[in-house]
Order: sequence, then C-alpha cells, then structure tokens
Amino acid sequence: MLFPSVNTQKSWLVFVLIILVALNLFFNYSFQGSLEDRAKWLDSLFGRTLYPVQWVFNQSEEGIRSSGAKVGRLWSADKENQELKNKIALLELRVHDFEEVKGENARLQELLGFRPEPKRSFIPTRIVGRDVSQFFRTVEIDRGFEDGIEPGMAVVSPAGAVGRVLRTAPRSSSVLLISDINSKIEAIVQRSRTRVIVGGAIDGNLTLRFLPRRYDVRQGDEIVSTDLGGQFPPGIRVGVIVGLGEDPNLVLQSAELEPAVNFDSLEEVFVAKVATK
Amino acid sequence: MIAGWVIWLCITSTWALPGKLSIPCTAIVLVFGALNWSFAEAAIYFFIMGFLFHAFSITPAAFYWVALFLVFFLTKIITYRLSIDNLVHMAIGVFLSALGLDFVQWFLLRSLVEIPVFRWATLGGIILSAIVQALISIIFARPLMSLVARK
Repeated sequence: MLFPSVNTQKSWLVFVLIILVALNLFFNYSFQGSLEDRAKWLDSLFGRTLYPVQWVFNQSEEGIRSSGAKVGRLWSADKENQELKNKIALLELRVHDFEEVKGENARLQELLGFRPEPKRSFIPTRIVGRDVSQFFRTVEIDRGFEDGIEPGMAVVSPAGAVGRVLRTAPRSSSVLLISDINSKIEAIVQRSRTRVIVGGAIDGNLTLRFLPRRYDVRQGDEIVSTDLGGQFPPGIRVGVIVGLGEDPNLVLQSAELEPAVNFDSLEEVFVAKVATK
Repeated sequence: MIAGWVIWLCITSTWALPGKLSIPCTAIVLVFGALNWSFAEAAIYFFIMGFLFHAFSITPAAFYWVALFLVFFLTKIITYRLSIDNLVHMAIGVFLSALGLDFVQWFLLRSLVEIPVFRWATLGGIILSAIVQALISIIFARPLMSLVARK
C-alpha cells in the first residue's frame, strides 16, 4: 500500500514525520550552500532549550576538576611566580618595541593614504560543550547574542585561529571549528604570501584545498589568516604544512596542515568583534 | 530511555575526550529499541532523538533520523532470528550497532560533501567508540533487560 490507511493514526503520524524529515533534509542539508544559509530554526529550538542543562553539567564538572588542580598548583606557586615575573619583564620590553614599530607603521600608512584597519575587540568566552558526533566539530561557548555575538564572527585563542560563530542563542553560541569538514577559510602562506584556502578534514586535521601546483608552498611553511575573507583578523596563526602530495591529475597538489591550536585542550577562546564607529 | 540518553549526551558533551572520540551511546538505545519498539514507534522516537541530538551537534536532524532508522531496521530484522540472552550478546549487539550507525553516517556524509572523507584515523575513532559503548552497555544491560522482561 502506497499511502497509509486512514484508520491507523500511527501510520499517519509516521507518514507526516517522513514528510517532515524529507522537507528538513531538502531545506537544511543539501550541503551545497554554506552552513549559515541553511534554515535551522526548528533544529536549533532544542539547542536553546537544552543549553541550561548542559551548562549545569559543565559547571559541576569544572568545579570538581578545578578544586583538585588548585591544591596541586599551591606547591609550585612560588617558583612559577618568579618565572612569570621574569617573563613579564621580557614581554614588557618586547611590547615597547612593538608599540614603536606599530606607531611607525601607522604613520607611514597614513602618509601613503592607506585606509586604517578596522579596530577589533575580543570578547573572552569559555567552552561549555563539544560536538557529540564522530564526524562534526563544533564547540559551545557561554556567550550569545545578548553579549553581542553574531554568526560569522571569528573565534581565536592565543595559539591561533579556532573557528567562527555558526549560530547564536541568548546566552550561548555554537562555534564551527576550522577543522570541521564544512569549514573553509582564506589564509596566506607567511613566507611567500600565497593565498590559499584552508579546509577541515574528517580526522580533525587541516588541508589546503584547490591548491595549484605552481603555488609556492613548502613543508614547514606557516599559514596565517588574512583579512581578505573578512572573517579573521590578519596574521593569526592557522597551522604549519606537514605534508605535500600531488593529485593524480597533475593540476592540483594537496597539503596537510598541523593546526596551530590543539582543539582537544581548548578551554577559553576569544570572539573577535569589529568595533563600530 | 530517551531522557536518560539526553542526560548522557549532556554529560559527555562537556567532556574533553582525547582525539575525536565521542561516546553518544545511541547504539544502546538502538538495541533496546529493537527489542521493544515497533517500526512505527521507532520512527517517532528517532524523529525526537534526531532533533535532540542536533542540540549537541551540527549533525542534521533528518540525516541522523535516516541513519538511525536504517540501523534500527537491520537490528530489528536480526533480532527476529537471534535473541539477546546475556551480557556478551548485548555487548556484541551494541558494538555492531554502533559500528553500523557510524558507517551509515559516514556513507551518507560521503555523498553530501565534495571532499574525500575516508581517513584511517577516523576508522580508529569509530572502532574505539563502538568498543567503549559496548562496555558501557554491559553496565546498564541488567536494569534495561529487566525493563524489557517486565514489558
């Protein structure tokens, strides 16, 4: 029988569910468009509802973990304090040098008529959850649109580029990591200034996509973000090329990247926000 | 059972497991579902589970529904011929269902994204995840089996 009997309510319910699932697949997940373009209001409904529960679990786990760690840290606090003081003194000297160079750079740019770079502020956030799927890579952060977070904003850590905001709720947001297979970001090779596209791979590493053979890339090259894509602040570390391979068609080459960020141990990240005048 | 599964997802989503290991324990729900639910009931429950899972992942809800129902269909057919009598049977069932669920998702993903999705590292993660889920099922098997027996 092609259509379910009118007498069996359950069959009708299943029939309606299958139609809903088909529509959901059709509208949301053709995977042809970008992730942000997909309709996802119904899907995100449960996400928003379940966030407080997830937050409670995260807080209790953090509480237990940090209490144990605090006791351990007390033992080495004195030595670490001295080391940090020395490090701060060195960094203060370097910051002074950088400020000098930055000022000089700004003055020269003004003389040459360059437009000043947009000012960015960084919103500190904590990671409260991770993607439970084997195949996708996202993290949940504890700031949402009530804190000024918007989809598409870049997320970075002191080590390098992390990802970009995918969807927002009032007090939480999902961040698509750059290692996810849906992620594509523009970047440049620091040495040769060659423009490349960095994409995620299913095993959590990064790859350079659509890379012509004539491009000047070598093993060990550092890949950094560029503001050409309009997503990340320029100069943020993305990864290092650890392997190069040729495609059989001899037109393109492939490259494997080791991410600058260890996504497994991320705890705090910063959302880059372009300041509006 | 679904409520318990959601609580489990809430807990595990806050764990920073090494590598890309995830233990959603959906295979345990699948196996007990195969012993308890009809195809129509499963379709409805998986619909809810798909949307709930999407709260913890960017896995498309409908994509997950398709994967769940395919593996459920196979598991249900197998349970007509083979019975689950002890903890070892349970662990094997959960292990195979977890593998099946991941492979079906892998296969579906392959047809949806344009980049190659086969990596040996992923295979290791899938097998390890299935083993861990099988071990967890041993812990929860007795209360859940008594639930089945009562029904």
